[in-house]
Amino acid sequence: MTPIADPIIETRGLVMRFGGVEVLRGIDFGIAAGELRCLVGPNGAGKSTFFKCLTGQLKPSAGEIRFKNASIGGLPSMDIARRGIGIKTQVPSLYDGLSAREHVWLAVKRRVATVGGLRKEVPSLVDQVMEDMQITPLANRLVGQLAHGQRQIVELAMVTAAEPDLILLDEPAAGMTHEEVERLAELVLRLRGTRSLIVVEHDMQFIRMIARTVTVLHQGQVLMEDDAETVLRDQRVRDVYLGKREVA
Amino acid sequence: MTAPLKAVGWVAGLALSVAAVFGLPHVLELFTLINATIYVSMAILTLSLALIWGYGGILCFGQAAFFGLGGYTYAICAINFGDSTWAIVLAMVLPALVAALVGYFIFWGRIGDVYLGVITLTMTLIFLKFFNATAGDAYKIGRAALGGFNGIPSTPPLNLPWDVGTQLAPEDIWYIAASLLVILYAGSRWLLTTAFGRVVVSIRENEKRSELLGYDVRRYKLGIFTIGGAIAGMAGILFANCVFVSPTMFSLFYNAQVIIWVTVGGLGTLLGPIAGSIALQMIVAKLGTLQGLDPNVVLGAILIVFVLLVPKGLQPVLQDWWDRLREPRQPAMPAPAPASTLRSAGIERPLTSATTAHQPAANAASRP
Amino acid sequence: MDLVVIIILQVIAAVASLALVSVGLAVIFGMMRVINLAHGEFIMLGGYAVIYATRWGVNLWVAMLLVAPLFVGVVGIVVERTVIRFLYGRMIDTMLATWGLSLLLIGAATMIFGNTTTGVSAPLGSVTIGQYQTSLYELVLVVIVVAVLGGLMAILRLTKAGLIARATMQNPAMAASLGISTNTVYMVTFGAGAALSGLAGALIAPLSGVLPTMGVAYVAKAFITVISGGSAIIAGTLSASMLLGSLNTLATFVATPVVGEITLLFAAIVLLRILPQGITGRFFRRAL
Repeated sequence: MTPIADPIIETRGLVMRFGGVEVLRGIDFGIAAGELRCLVGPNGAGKSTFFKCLTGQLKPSAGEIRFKNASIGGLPSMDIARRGIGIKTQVPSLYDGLSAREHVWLAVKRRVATVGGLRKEVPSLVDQVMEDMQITPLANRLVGQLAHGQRQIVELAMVTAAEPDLILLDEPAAGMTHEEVERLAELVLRLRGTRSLIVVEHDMQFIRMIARTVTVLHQGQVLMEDDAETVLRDQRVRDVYLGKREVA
Repeated sequence: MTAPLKAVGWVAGLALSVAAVFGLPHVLELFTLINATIYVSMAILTLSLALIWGYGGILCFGQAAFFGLGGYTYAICAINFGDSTWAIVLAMVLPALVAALVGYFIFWGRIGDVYLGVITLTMTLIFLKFFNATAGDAYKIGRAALGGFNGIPSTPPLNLPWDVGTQLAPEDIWYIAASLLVILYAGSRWLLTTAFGRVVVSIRENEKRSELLGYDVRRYKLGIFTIGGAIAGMAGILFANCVFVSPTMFSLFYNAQVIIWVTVGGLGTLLGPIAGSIALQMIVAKLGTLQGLDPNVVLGAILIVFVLLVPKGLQPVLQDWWDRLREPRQPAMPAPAPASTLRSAGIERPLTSATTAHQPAANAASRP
Repeated sequence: MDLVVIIILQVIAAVASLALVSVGLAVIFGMMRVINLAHGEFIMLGGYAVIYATRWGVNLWVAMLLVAPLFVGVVGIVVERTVIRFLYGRMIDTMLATWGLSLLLIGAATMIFGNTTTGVSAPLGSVTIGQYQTSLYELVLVVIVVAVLGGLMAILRLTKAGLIARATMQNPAMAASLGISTNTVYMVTFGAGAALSGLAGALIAPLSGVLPTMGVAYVAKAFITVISGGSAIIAGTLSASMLLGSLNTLATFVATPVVGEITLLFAAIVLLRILPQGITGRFFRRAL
């Protein structure tokens, strides 16, 4: 990979072991501020584990993670979140007993507490986010009763409402209808530039819609990193996805 | 419910409670009124658990420890000071401090689930054993002899603030207890609408999500746990005024009762547990007068029946009925966050995986 | 010298009795993730079973080693069929329901037997070591506890039933897909756990007497021991009993019995703070 001049996040030799199994085997990765990067790879490549290391849900066995020029490897999730990393997890992680509006409120409230700001503004900021994400009609519905696609959007709204510098999206398009996917792509493209994003996705069409650079993970290592078209045409990547054995 | 209807509900509730607070002393005999005061003090204890378990998601098996500590602190201080004013303050502060200390230990150690239950239970047993062993002259704090198994029979009653001469009569203590219950209930409802309360509820719903948003969940849990400790301490003061303090305040029986009342009333509600505790105390007292029937049998049977048949508790079930009565045509919506799922959230490790036995490596690694 | 021997014997006896009162709870918790808060009342029923059996002329040893475990085992199976089986996977609910059962049994026992301590005299007399005396029965108790734990280990390791039990414990879904009736396994396990509690009550009866509320004293101790031990049934119970039992006895010896009890409880709290998964959550992970 080509080293990035001023990376917002960067990992060096990141290793994650579970007992005897090495799930991440020395990952060197980095993206520039404002970049939108897609992360692909077959099941078990270590994508979700990688995200868990970045967000402090797992403590890496070895290697370094630097975010905004500070080492964050092994810090508690809470600290990492406050430094400005937000994540939409693979299985939507929501508060089933709370309303959609309360989800957004929790995120806005936290941001106001971290960044500083007027408490009075919180309600109007919440309304703004609800409006932007087109979920105002869902405001008072309990999230536990929403359809899967709607839940994904609510989680996305919550994550973006916290205004993190780096947003991690783990399979955001899963279970969405075609229109919802298009709306999602539109939103992601809108965020690019002001925010940095790493998106894990299997939906190749979605990747084509949003990505310029794609990183391929395979068996806990970076297999290749190039622009979207090159990666999607690459024979090795196809083999990996179709489960062919790599030719050594 | 629409806003005006809600307001009507609040006004009606307030009117009813005012009527109960000021009407009962005129209707009841003194003995019954004192009993009613005991019920109310236990209802306040129940409220403290309903708050930390139902809304904070913290199943404390030793809530009675704070109750007992409140009682003992009050008794010891009131005897030594001769004035109950500061005794009251200390009897709220000390249980809150102990709760904060234990909470710090538990939440910063990331101890959850059953383990939390064991530690809180152990804590209350330590107090039980300690106070049981305080017979004899060696155990005196100032002028107050702890009295071992017998407790402190001569617990002084409340007096007017800084006015030792005016001791309060049982009727006055009833007024204080009953209004305190109303105030604490309203205060708890208010607390849950504040930013703090809403974050606490979010942590109960999904602790990990709140962490990923950047909330320090330990502090919020500590906060609600400490508040619960202070409220339980108040219950202890009132109990000490109606009965007297003794080590049984720490016993398994009191700890069990509170959990039963919250379960029966409905986990994740406040009014249900309060009503449930008073109703069940009345039932048990009534049954206690029957020949040959042990109240434990009734209490046990009630708990089993509720867990098996009405796991959500009374208030949510009644609410469902009421909603269905008002809108009979609409298909019933699934009840929001039923208590049974609350209870199962997190703690349940169903038998479907051997995670506990075989993922400790991953768990240990994830623990900061 | 004699004193040292006596203290060592007392430590061993304390460890054994802690293991004895905990093992029934440990079997049920380890296998089914169910915390049985009626455990203490199962112990109490075991005690009454011995008292009534001996009154009706049954030999004391037969009553303790056979009648009591069988009787309480049957009670356990009835409880499992009527209450517990509806609550699998709902740990807190089972805890509450068994707590209700505990109260029910205490109340029922008080109504039937009255709220007084009944006793049977301890058999076997005492032995003298130097200038000290200790009861021979307590030493026999240690041997019985070792035999029970050894037998349990042998059943789990060597028999087909043990294999089925271990398989279900490790992965119930997989076991079910192999055609094992997990339902039956749980029923038998609960019955076996109850029987062990009954045995504990029977063996304790000559030492402490029997009282409807006696279970309360044991359930908390057993609960604490089992959780401190962690998920491995035998290794967990043994390691936690050794640690807590010896601390208890030593503190009792140095100070008073109350200090001993409080030391035990404090030790458990500190232990859980350091090892939140219990001893076997960190060590002896592959053990049973």
